[in-house]
Amino acid sequence: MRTVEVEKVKYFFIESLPYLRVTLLYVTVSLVIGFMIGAGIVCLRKSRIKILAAIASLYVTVLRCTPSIVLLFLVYYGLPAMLGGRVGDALNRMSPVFFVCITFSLFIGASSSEVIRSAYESLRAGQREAGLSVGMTELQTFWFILLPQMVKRAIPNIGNMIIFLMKEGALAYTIGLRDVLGQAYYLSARSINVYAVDMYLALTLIYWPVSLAIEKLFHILEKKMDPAKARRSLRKLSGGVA
Amino acid sequence: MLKVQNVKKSFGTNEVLKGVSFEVDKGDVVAVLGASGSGKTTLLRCLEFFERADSGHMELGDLSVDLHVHSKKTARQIRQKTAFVFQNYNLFENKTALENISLGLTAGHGLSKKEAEKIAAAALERVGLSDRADYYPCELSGGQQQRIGIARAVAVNPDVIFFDEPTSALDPELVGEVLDTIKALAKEGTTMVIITHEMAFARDVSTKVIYMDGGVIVEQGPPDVIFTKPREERTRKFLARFIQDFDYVI
Ligand SMILES: Nc1ncnc2c1ncn2[C@@H]1O[C@H](COP(=O)(O)OP(=O)(O)OP(=O)(O)O)[C@@H](O)[C@H]1O
Ligand SMILES: [Mg+2]
Repeated sequence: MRTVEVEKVKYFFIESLPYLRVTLLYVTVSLVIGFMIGAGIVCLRKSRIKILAAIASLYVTVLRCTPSIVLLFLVYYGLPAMLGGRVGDALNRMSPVFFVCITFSLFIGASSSEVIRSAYESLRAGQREAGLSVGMTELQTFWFILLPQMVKRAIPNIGNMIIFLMKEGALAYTIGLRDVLGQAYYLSARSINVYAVDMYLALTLIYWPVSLAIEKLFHILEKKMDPAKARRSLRKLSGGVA
Repeated sequence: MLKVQNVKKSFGTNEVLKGVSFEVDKGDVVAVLGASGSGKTTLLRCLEFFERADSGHMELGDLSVDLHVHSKKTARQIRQKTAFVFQNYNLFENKTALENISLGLTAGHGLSKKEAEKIAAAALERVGLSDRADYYPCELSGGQQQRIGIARAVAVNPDVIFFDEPTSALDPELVGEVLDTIKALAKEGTTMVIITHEMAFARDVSTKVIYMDGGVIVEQGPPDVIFTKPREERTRKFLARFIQDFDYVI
């Protein structure tokens, strides 16, 4: 058996690392669009029109029960076929990252709707009424009071979602996505996978620190969002200067 | 100045308000008394448009509003002329004490940030919490939170302030500071409608007492009349339960 060559690991590492930008791209796009879908779902579920509320709940249930790779294939092969004609042709020419973004946006749409809903429901309903009672509009109350607190509560979940998306992205290799993993596989295949172990090692060396950094970042963010704590440390800081 | 006519409200088959009418003059301090479930909270919530009454009418200054059919705009106009102090304080948890007060002035009343902060600081001074201006609600005691809640209401200079049991969520040792704050407002001529179970306080501070039971106003009048010689048997029975308290307090 062949031993691991540091040179090879380095090669895979350096050649694949830049493709983190693809990962970054689909993670960001999926999160942004996903949260917009999620917000829409929450509104629909709260809507007085029963049928809309039912459709929204059904969407969440169905997506929760669908494995990501199934949805990915459905979107990648199914969508162009279903739409057919010129639209289908145009879709067929789109790059894989486009389909990955659609798939994960749909997923995040479902899971973020739960996050948004629980963040909303954990707020004391009274704060909305308090805002209204001093003459603010519903929108102002939402924007200045409810939303900031919801974001704060959702932050740990957003961190988890990013890490989930990064890892699930490995599946997207199956439809030809060239993210970090796709690129590493591509390079490895060129050398008929002789250096597969070196490649996986290099991938680990990329995924681990990034995941750790994201976790850490969100931990800090969570603390920063707690105004009372943030202010206390600020006070300590200025106390130290004085 | 405030005229409320024939407010009715049911939750499902539960008829909670069965036609309530009363008037408040400028400078009045109205104490609303009544057993649990008599509809006191629901009444004030209808007047602040937190609940939609089934019918009823309200006049406040030059505004005249149907409590069942109204636009969002009229609801907001009324809310800009009133304020509400909640049983659970309901301070904005993401805002400091000062911001809790100034936000109503900037967002709710269109004042500039600078003006708002000046008024908010003055309101904090009035409730004796100037030194807590940049504290967050979670860093304050219940009594302090409620005093901020009162300052937030006072700051928007409303025609009338509604209080829903402002001290009943407080530890007994913190009740006094909040009642004193309200007393001070009463002395300055602030118009208030206060739901309370603090009978001694109601007798001391109010200019008018309303006794509610079963969704109707059973009796209303000046405190010395209601507390010493009520006309209605139901009022007498209700007050009898508290009379001993008075003897100790006064
Ligand atoms: N949102 C609601 N949905 C259904 N029923 C309600 C609602 N709010 C109040 N009620 C009912 O209306 C009745 C009157 O309630 P309300 O809170 O107005 O009484 P209250 O006089 O303020 O009592 P307390 O002294 O306990 O605060 C009660 O029977 C209560 O169960
Ligand atoms: Mg009540």
